[in-house]
Amino acid sequence: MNNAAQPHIRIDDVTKSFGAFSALRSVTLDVPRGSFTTLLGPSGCGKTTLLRLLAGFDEPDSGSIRIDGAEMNGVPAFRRKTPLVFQDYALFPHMTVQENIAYGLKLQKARKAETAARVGEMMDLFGLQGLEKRLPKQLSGGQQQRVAFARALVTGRDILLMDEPLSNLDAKMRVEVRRELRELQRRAGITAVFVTHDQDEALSLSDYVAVFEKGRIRQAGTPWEVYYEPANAFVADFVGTANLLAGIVEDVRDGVLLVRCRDVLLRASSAGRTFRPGDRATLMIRPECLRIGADEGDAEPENRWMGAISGSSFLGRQVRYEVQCGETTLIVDDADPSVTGVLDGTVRLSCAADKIHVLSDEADSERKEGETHERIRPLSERRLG
Amino acid sequence: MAIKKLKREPVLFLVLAAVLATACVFVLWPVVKVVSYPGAADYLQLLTNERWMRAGLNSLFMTVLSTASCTALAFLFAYSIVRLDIPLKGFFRFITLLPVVSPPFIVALSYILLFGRQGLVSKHLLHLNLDIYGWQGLWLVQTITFFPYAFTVIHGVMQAAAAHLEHAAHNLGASRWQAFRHVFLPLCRPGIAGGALIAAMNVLADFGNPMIIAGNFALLPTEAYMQMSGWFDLSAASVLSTALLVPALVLFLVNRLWVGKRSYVTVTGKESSLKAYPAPPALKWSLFACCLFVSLFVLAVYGVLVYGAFARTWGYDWSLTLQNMKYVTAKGSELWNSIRFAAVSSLGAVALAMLLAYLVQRKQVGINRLLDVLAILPGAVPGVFLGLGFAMAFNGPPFELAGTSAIMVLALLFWNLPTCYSACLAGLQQIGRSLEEASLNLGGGTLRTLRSVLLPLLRGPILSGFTLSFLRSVTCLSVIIFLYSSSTSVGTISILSLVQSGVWGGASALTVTLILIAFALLAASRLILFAYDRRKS
Ligand SMILES: Nc1ncnc2c1ncn2[C@@H]1O[C@H](COP(=O)(O)OP(=O)(O)OP(=O)(O)O)[C@@H](O)[C@H]1O
Ligand SMILES: [Mg+2]
Repeated sequence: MNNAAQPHIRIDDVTKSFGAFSALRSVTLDVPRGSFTTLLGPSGCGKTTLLRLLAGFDEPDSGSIRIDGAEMNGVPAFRRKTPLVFQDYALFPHMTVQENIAYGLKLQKARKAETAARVGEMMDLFGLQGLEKRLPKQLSGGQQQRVAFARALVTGRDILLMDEPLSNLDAKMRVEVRRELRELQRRAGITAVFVTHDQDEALSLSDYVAVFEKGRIRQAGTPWEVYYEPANAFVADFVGTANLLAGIVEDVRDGVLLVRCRDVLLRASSAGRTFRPGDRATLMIRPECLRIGADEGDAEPENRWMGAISGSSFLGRQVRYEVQCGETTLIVDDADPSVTGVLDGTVRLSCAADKIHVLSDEADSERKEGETHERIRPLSERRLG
Repeated sequence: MAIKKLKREPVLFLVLAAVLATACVFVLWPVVKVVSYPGAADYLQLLTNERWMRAGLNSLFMTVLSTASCTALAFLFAYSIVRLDIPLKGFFRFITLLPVVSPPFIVALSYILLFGRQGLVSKHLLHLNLDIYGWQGLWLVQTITFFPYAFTVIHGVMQAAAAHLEHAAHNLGASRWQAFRHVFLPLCRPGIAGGALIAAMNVLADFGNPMIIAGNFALLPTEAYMQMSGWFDLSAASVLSTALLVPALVLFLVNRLWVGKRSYVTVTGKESSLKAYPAPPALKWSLFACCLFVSLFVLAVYGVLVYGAFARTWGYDWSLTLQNMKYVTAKGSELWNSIRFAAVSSLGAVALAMLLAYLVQRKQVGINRLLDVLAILPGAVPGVFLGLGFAMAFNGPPFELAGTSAIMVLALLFWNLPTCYSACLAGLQQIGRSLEEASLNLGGGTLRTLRSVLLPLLRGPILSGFTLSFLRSVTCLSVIIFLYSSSTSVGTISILSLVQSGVWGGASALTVTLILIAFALLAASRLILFAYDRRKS
């Protein structure tokens, strides 16, 4: 069964509603074996719902979930072997740390000696020595979280589901735990499904990221792809800060598009997709891909703007500017402010063509706009349009 | 520190002294009086007098038996309501409320009407001649009467036990049964213990049901009453009552000290929306059937009572009539006494409870702990003991109250004090101290703050305390059985005597009338308050 080519978890066209509310709409996702896959999305978009379906606490309304190729529909939670780290840990308050961790082994009727050895191993791994006899309420948030991990991992399953397990930690600790977590997952060869609404966390941890919006996956791909090549405006915006420019394609030559966005003409790589003159296109530029300078010499030859700085904030490792270029406001990050100091007044912006990304889901986002229009426009007018 | 504060607030000091004196006189003094009345030789009789021994053992036996069944039934109801996806949950909740607001012997009375020699079921339907008097009947009756008390506690704890912990157990491979045993049950254990203790306290102190249904099966409360009413043997009554007080106090202390501290109520945030893993249909529907059966039985209890009130001659002539109402008119003054005493004593109880709760919660007077104990102590004292205590303590100078209305009111007042006190204390704890400090800060004195800030906010607890204590007083039998005189007799006493002389129709009519009057009055007072609120706002 352990066919390396086969995805470890295959989610196929899964739909789930609570009454009239659709929490998941036709979700399809493959989770490769041994990968760290993150479900990323704003609060209430259905991440936890999907995780619960994977763990078997709920059944999908339609669609199927397969683990190792085996159909999971109808398989009760306790036969699924999908340990989950709960959002609030869900430690058993009446059991000690040791009992909590050993619980999964106890259910498997493991021998005493083996249980003790495995639990001890986990205690060492998560730095919980000396806390064996404590009750969960006598632990700090970080310690509880480590117990939750230990409890989920002790049975040695090859899947680990995690629901925002780091959200109760302080910022510094979170970064530290992220690294450890990733290392642990690699070493044990576990297939991890991780839920978060924190894009930094998603990008830094994952092999693959699936970005959710309102119960739908809007894009699934590597962190690089969702960051630099977002499929649509939602993903572009949710995974980092994005400058989005709507325009019309004027010309196409050798895989380079010439797009007019309001009063500037921009060159962008078509990234292998076909466009014809007259097509609509939305361009996305990350703030750090724009170069900012007071003088002309420093600028790229193509894709230039002149603008006035309308706001700036010093963030330590970078300065973030808001630059008013005609009618558009561009957000620009200067990654090394120590060179130029904080700029002011009129500046010149530029960007290399290969750093301007053309959104691929144009049709999709247009349909979305259409939807919102439809609700407002009367029927007669809609037929005309 | 405390002394200095008292000097600064002389009014507080006076109030405190008055409250303390009152509490000592009406809470401690009766207890001391009863306990100290018999000599050592009398107490030794407890071990030698075979009849008393039996009464003691019987009480113990019934407490264990009925507590076990009450707790089991309460658990079943709570589990079904909290965890199962079944219809009629509202109805089941309602059923668990009914016995709490009814006279304590109502189930026993109905039981006789249903299964007694002239019973509707036993004689009319099955043509049996059963002897229903004895421990089996008492067991059933006490189970129905007292399981709601256990239910309240267990239900509360069960609701707080979030389902996601069971999901966590399933997630690690636990089957339904394993998750139930390893996670759900341990989490409910404090609730089960608490519920069982509450039930045990009530069963132990139960006077009305054994009086009617136990027959020759002697228990401590009924035996104490027998000694007093039959032989005027004060010392024997005191010995038996004290024998009752000791286990009651133990139960009470265990409940306060142990159960209160062992709750696992977890603070749960996001995951609490998780529904429990559905139970297997077979289990679900059998539990539903059990709840339904018990609920229908409880309904039958009330239904048959109403029928009894309007049936011509129970057991012989089932046709409807209004003739039983003649007992109601004949006992008009007793009914009036019931209402009068209940209203006055409940008002007094609420006022005193409020004052005590305020002193304990808000003022560091140095004896907060003592005041707290005095306020809840009557809750530990069985009604029969309290009644006997009042009868003995205020039977001569300096408190010559025997046979007066005052002694009835006072006994009921202190009997209800813990109920009201708990409600007020909980209410006060919920109101932030800062509100009050703001008022004090703006120059309002203690009294003014009390009146203009705290009282309006405490309307809810005060009202619920009053309601509960009013209903308890109207339906009380045990406390006043030692205290009434011919001019201060009340409805429940009349009912008891009608039952004892086999006038089932009259007893039913009187019971129904009593409950109806009590509820009508409560509804009216709520309406008036509601209208008053509307006009003010
Ligand atoms: N049992 C339920 N009944 C009704 N609606 C539900 C239920 N569970 C979830 N929902 C709804 O489904 C949507 C998705 O919920 P879900 O818990 O999956 O969100 P989430 O992405 O995990 O959000 P968060 O980041 O806040 O945890 C929410 O709008 C929620 O209100
Ligand atoms: Mg969630």
